[in-house]
Amino acid sequence: MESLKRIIGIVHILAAFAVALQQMSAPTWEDSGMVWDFLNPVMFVFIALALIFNFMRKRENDSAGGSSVTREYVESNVLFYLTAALAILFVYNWVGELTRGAEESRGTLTGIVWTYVNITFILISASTGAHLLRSLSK
Amino acid sequence: MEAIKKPVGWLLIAISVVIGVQYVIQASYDSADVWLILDFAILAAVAISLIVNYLRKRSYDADNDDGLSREYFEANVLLYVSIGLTMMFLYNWIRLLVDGDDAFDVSDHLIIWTAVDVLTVIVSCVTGRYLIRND
Repeated sequence: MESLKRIIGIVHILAAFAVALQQMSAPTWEDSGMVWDFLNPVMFVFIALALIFNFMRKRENDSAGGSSVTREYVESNVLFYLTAALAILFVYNWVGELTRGAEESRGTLTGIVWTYVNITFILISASTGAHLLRSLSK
Repeated sequence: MEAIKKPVGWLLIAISVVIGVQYVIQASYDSADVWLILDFAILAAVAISLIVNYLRKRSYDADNDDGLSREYFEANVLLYVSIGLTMMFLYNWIRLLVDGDDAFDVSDHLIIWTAVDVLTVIVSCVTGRYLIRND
């Protein structure tokens, strides 16, 4: 379980880097849509993993009891609810793209949601990965 | 009052699940008519959440004046998010009822619906869970 956590933590951080690079460089080259077509299933898997790990982290913190507001309490709650919102928005946009095609689903709202999804993904995936790695060294 | 906490909690969680599922699958079929019905469910969910979270905050404020606790933090965050959600929902819903489909010509209309739908899923679920746990 320890080594699995380490691998997932490292891959989470790599996924954050990959999406960040793609998000920033996408306007500079053609056919960036093909890269997104590949990255979307990858992002789906990492969002699902982040949701599971952040839910486990929040549950562990909740079950430890105590009524004071600690860093761990704030971090675990913020990360879990942000990941939940990210999952809903990602699935909404991705389902739209899969069912109607990338061209037809393109619009102002879809573009805004993709931008929000990509940036939030970078932050959440990197934070989740870093937490998984840090929790091993404790 | 105590007797209805659990059923209302489950009702909020059910609304949260229905809105969440409808939100992510809406692009795969013509969902406009479904939203017309679900808007009433959202209205019920935001109204109940607003009342429950106001009572939670008032109850905490009446009994405690100590430092920052989890209950203080959660009661305040939930109440103020519920207020924001209620205002955004009513603003968009009234505009939709008054202007009909023309409301979608305004660029922020869909963006606000997106925020309302996602926040309703989270706020209803958390408020429902609070009611069930405190029954």
